[in-house]
Amino acid sequence: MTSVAGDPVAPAAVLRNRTHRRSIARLLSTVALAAPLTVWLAALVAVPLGILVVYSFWRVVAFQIVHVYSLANYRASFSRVFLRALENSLVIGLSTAAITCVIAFALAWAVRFRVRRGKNLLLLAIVAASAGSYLARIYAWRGILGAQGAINSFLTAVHLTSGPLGFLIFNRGAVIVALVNLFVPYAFLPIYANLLAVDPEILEAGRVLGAGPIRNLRHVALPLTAVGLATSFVYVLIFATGDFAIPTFLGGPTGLPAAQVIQSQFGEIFNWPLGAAMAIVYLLVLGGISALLAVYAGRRSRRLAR
Amino acid sequence: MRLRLPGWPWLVIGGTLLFLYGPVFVTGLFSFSDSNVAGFPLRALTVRWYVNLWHDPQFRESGLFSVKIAAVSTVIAVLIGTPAALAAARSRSVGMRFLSGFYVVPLLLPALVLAVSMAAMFRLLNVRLTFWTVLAGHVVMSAPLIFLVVGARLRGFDWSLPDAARVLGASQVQAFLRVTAPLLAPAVLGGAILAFAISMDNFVVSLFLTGGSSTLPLLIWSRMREFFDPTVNAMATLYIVMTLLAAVIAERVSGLRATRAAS
Repeated sequence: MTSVAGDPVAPAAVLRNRTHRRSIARLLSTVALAAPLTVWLAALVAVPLGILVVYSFWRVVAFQIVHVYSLANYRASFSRVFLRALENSLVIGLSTAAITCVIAFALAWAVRFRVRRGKNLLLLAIVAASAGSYLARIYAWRGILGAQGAINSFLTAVHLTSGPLGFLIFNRGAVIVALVNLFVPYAFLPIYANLLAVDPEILEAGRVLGAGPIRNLRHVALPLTAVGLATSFVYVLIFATGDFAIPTFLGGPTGLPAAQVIQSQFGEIFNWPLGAAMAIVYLLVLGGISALLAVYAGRRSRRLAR
Repeated sequence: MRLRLPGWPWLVIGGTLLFLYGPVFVTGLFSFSDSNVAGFPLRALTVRWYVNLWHDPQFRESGLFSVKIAAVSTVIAVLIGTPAALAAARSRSVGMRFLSGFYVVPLLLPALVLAVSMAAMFRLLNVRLTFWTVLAGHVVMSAPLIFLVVGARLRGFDWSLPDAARVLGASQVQAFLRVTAPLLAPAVLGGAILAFAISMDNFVVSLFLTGGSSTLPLLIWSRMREFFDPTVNAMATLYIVMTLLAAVIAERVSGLRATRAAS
């Protein structure tokens, strides 16, 4: 095939015809390239989510799902039990997200501005920490926080305590510790990427102009990294509230989060329609909070741009 | 600079690394501990749990199942994710921009919601849960990842290179195979390694979409629930070594740049 540019004598009509044909070919090839993934995700994400919505209006009678439409599941979702579970989820999710972001920010700051040698190796070590079996890690926390775990053995060995401390495990705190451990590497990346764009000279300028470390952080560094921080925060919030394995193993009997309640509806309790309604309520609450955070972060970084 | 208190950055870095690798380290330690309880002090060292694992038919079976699922789902994810990334990189249309947003939805939704909605659909359509349903679910999780990693590589891609090949007389197919594909290969390979590792570690999707067979994480889950079983530590240690290697290789192959741009 000859290119249009290499054909100087082609009349205008032929040229137009060729570009026209070429743009159609281009469109067709784009459609062909995008089709497989589009179809796969439409069939296995979009359609199932729609079906989940339909399920949420059905009922279970004698362990059979009956296709009768009612709002009963939503009424049950707004019962005190599930609202308490949602509250537990949000407390766990928001504290995990906040702690994770503080650690990730401090870490990203230290790596960005204070590390000179071995930076790549350090970055690799941080990112690689997200690898490794997720369930095995939960298991390991029992060996760390449990009655005979690393912390209690150490405390008893140095005679700081006479017996094992029971409050280390099987409560909300243990759940949050395990979640933070899981998400720090993920939260680190967007914040670090933001900090890469922050020129150390800007911070130096703030200092020269008389801003103390706290003011410099609040008025210079935080607005510059608002987008990265918000991304990390929302990401951790979504995945921390969506987890049910960690509360199952480390959370103890009280303060069940929504994800664990939803999982049990699809598992042991076998009330899929109710589980579907709960999942949708949970998604809407989460979506609302994420949208608010996104708007807030967008406004902060825009205010800076002005 | 007055801010520079001696050592605080290294305190943060050291403390965080200790925290991040603490569970990994403890798991490795317990996997060699000659005791039936997870606790200190460690009395003696043993490789008993690894030997048990080697002779454990359930471990072999679910290990094989996991590897099959991970391998096939990664191949499918690459085959459908890479073309979509190419389409998104070449087209500026509104429709394509909408689709690019749609493709990352699985990465933004809690896996629990994705998994139960797929299970609900399969149940409604009377699809029996087998290898194929698990496979379909794993591709949902990994194809968007391939799309992002390859897409990140394409953002800095110099389209004048394949164009130059065309001007020099290469056909469209030749230009793709000889110029575009080799330039994309590192990103595709890096994404594939990540997708494989993520599939091997996937727990939630497998839990809701499997029929009788267990993946490795499902085996670990059931053993964790039943009783204290030190072979879980041995299994986990093998796992961690494997995924750490995968992460290091992926980094070597495609560089942190791809991961960073993807997030």
